[in-house]
Amino acid sequence: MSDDIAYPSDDQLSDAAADTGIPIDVLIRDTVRLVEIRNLLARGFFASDSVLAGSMALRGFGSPRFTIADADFSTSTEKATPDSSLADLFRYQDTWLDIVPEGAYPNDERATLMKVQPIRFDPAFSAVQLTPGQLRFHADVSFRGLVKPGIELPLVHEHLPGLRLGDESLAVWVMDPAETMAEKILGWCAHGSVKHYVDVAWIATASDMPEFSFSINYQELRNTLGDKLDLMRQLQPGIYADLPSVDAVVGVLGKPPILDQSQWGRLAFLKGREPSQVAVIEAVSQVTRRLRRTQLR
Amino acid sequence: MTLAVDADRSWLRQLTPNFAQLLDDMEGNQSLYRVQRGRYVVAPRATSRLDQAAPVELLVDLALRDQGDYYLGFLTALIAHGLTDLHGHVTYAAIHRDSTLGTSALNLGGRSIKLVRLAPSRWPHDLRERERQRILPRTQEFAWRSSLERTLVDGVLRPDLCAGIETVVGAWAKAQRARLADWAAVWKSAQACGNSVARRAAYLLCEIGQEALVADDLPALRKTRARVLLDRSDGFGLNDQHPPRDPRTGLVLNVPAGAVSGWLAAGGIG
Repeated sequence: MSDDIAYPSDDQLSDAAADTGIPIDVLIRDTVRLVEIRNLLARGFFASDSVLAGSMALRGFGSPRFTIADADFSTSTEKATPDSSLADLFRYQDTWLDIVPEGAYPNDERATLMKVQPIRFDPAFSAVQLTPGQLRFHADVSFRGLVKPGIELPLVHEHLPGLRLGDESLAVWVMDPAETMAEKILGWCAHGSVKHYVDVAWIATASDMPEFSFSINYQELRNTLGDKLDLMRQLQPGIYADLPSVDAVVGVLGKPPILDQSQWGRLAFLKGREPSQVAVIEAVSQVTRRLRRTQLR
Repeated sequence: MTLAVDADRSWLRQLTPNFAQLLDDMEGNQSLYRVQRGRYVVAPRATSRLDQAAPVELLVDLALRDQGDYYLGFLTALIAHGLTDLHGHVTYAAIHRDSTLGTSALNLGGRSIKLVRLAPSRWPHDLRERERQRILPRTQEFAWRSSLERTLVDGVLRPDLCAGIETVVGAWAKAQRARLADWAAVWKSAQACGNSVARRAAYLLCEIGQEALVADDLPALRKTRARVLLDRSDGFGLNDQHPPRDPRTGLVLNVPAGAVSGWLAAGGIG
């Protein structure tokens, strides 16, 4: 329970919606998700082997891509046993916000991925009129194992002026960028999801730019990709049957992508920071070239 | 609460004969937000702008409620049913093809609404395919929205209005994994929309493990000569490259090889 959080006013949210192009209901949900991350931090969920993952982690690195309804977490298999008490971790209440998780459910027979859903919230900090569907989000907690220790990053929320999460130096453990990139590469090569392709391009581009705080060592990326692939081939042998090795993965990554223009057009980015398709394809080509120059350890 | 002058004229006139002036004054002091000519949202307490006062669904109902049948559908309904993690800058509402509305787009308080005209053969045949949903808790404001089952069918009818075939297949996977859908109702609804939609739906039902539902109908579906694409919008541009046919339904699979199984697996199927 904490009351040292300052929430954005509704006018600040309206202004932010106009500035970022993100609807006001999505910004309110994002405020709630950030408070939830702070809650998990206070409850000791995060550590080098229990991290924020997925697109919210990428936002920690500065990615402009935006999702609306989910939050991804990843923890090593040794860290915890997945069970329904996981949902209790997500319970949060302060004067202006009440977050109520309704349950945690396994997403597969082996319970290597748990879904905490729905997580309903009552944002008393805002008078914005929201539908019941806009007052919920969900969290995915992966127990598929981390292959690299996470890194600590400040929790970034520049798009939400007025939100103060208490301690200004609040830092959260986030999946290592090389492991994040390996997950994204597998997400594209095994599942063909265009969002993963775009994220691979963004990580590669940002890692070469001095204004971002991380870089990618491609030898390390290849090794991480090998470790992740081994893990996923055990968990989902059918899906990964055509990807027996890192070289096979790199081969798929290197193929000219066939992108669905409808899908491409629906990826959400902060206004003015949308990447061009040509730049994205070139960035991924460069990742492929760099991976081909490395050797598996 | 909303106010439409046409429908609310009689009680407004009881308040004051000069109700137009009253509405102007209330708009001036932010007791009301004007959405369209003669259509207003009464300002909830502590709000200062229209985007704070009303979800877009309420604005759509305010604009369309006197214009014949409509329903919020396609990507808007996929989002509302929790079948995708995308969000939309455009709100989709289906209307009858012969609707007298003289436009295919509306701007309501800065929000873009796309009106999708549906032929009688594509309009929901079963009353349960359109649901009257309460928009806000503790209010008497409702809007028509496609049922979850009809939303899944509309995905294969118009994937271009649903953020593409990847989003549509992901939504089917999510509905199956979370046991959200009545698949018999999905199949019935798809069949009512005609052979093309039925073949696409039959293909996806087979892919998600509901083949038993369609098994008896597959021979008849296969017999149809028409060349039907899985992705009607051909978002990947593969139609000209002789994509393979699905042997069960005869459907032309104009998506990259392995894409459907990959999308289904990402959604927890397979």
